[in-house]
Amino acid sequence: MTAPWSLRFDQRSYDSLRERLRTDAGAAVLACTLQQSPRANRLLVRAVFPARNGIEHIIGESGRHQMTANFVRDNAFYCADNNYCYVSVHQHGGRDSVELSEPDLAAHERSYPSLLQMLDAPVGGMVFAESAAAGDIWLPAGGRVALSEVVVAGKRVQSLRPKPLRPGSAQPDPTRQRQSLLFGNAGQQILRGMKVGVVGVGGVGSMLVEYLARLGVGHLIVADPDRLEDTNFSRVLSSRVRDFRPGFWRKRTPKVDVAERAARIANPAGRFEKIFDDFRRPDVAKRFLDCDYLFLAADPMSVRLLFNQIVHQYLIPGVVIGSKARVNQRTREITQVTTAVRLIGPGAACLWCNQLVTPHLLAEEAASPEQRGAQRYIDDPTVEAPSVITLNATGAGLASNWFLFGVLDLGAPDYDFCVFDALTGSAQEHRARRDNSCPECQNRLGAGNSLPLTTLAQ
Amino acid sequence: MLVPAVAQAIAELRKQFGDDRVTYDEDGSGGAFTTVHAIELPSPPYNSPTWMSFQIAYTYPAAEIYPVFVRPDLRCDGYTNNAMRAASWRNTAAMQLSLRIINNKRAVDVETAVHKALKVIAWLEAHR
Repeated sequence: MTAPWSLRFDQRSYDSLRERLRTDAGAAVLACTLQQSPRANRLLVRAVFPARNGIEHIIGESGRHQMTANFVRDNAFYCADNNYCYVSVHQHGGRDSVELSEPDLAAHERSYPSLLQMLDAPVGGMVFAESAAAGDIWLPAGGRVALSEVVVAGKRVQSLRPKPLRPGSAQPDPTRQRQSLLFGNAGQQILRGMKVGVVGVGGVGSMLVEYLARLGVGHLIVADPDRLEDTNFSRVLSSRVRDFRPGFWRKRTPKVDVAERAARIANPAGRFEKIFDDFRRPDVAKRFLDCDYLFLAADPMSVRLLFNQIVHQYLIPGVVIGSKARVNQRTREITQVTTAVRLIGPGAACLWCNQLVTPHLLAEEAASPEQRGAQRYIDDPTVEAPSVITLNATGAGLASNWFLFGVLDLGAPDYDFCVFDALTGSAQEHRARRDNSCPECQNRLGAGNSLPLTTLAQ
Repeated sequence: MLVPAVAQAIAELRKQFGDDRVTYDEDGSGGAFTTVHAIELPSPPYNSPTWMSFQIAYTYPAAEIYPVFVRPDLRCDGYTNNAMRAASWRNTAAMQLSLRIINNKRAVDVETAVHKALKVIAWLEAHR
């Protein structure tokens, strides 16, 4: 069975398009990149070109509304020049279900063969109802596929389908009955069908794996290049003493193996992919590009940079969790104990815009340990900082709840970052800063495979 | 093996300064320890020519070029200030030029390796 086809928006582009379709534009062209894997064929919206009523969207000779030939041609050339896919979209009435009409399909029959010749990339047409979407995608090699869903990758992940999702025919899982009371069997089915990535499975990451597996997320993929050490034992869930005490024939256990142990207990029916390697390697990062959601629980700046790029480039919502504890080495006074949870949204909150990844910190990280010592950097990443399981639990729990409520479209915070201060028990909410000329979140938005990711050399 | 962005940076440096004046060693992650040789500076106060070395990390251009190292006896008069101090670069004595004082740009601006090299030379010429 071939992988399903879907189309993904970032929240801002989607909201803008829907507003234009309600007001002054009868249709639009979406320029999309294409990201394909055995699991999914995703059209990622890169640019939106509204066709204004009476200008680019007119009543044609048949008496039906249509985009002008010039508008179609200009946008087709734009897509062809940039190796984008061309998808037209307009609005139908109705609410929870929609389908392409006979005139829509007839229009596709007339024009898409020639568009395919121009673009050598998928070409399609899509219609919206209020809470539904349907699409007809023509493929360069021949054949047509229907869009299974349109995904809006915002804080609340909206999924627009031709018809409402029906709960599967399988019997409800009694082990998840209590949570199904909150979001129903349909919600459980959504979780079961998701692929979620966790980068880093140390203290925070191990908790995320436990929570996600127990929620019933069907497919988890994790990456971590480290083996468990004695200093991790107090924070990594499911770790055992023998994991960090190597035997004659046994090395210290990879952290991904410890995570797998927890996941298989919590969700025996789930799929668990473990990668005992560095996320920054191109062959590793590639395996996360078809995820539905991403979590970052690792510290290096270069990992943050890559994570941020994937979120915006492949339109995948993400959460970054970090804890910081500082102790004055001379006075032993605890000066800071905080955990920060940050929603990183495609086209929205961005680690680069908010200076959580900076050119200087990246350069500092790249220096050798000897060079860092010689340059007397203050925040030497090789110097251990305090770390506590209870602080990690605060961050992991908040992040997991944002994920759960977001992907089931139940709710989302109206802020982007939350910093919890364990010393005072207070939480500060922040809205992320957004730079309209950001080389990361704006330049890479929906770019898919058309821009290289910042990965280690092959 | 260099990542494409770093290879491009070295190509641009060679285009600016000449093929035979730019050398590099790979840093093992896709970046490069790069040296621009035979940079002429006003003498006095500088001992000229100098070399200029820096690491171009694999995360370039997101990662800035910092710090920059030159010959340890750069100044004929031995003068140093907050921007210039004795250091070691890859087990070789050097003078480190501090970006934070030379370049007062906003932290998240990005610049090319060529821009950085020319900026350092311009600063040295302006601060005799």
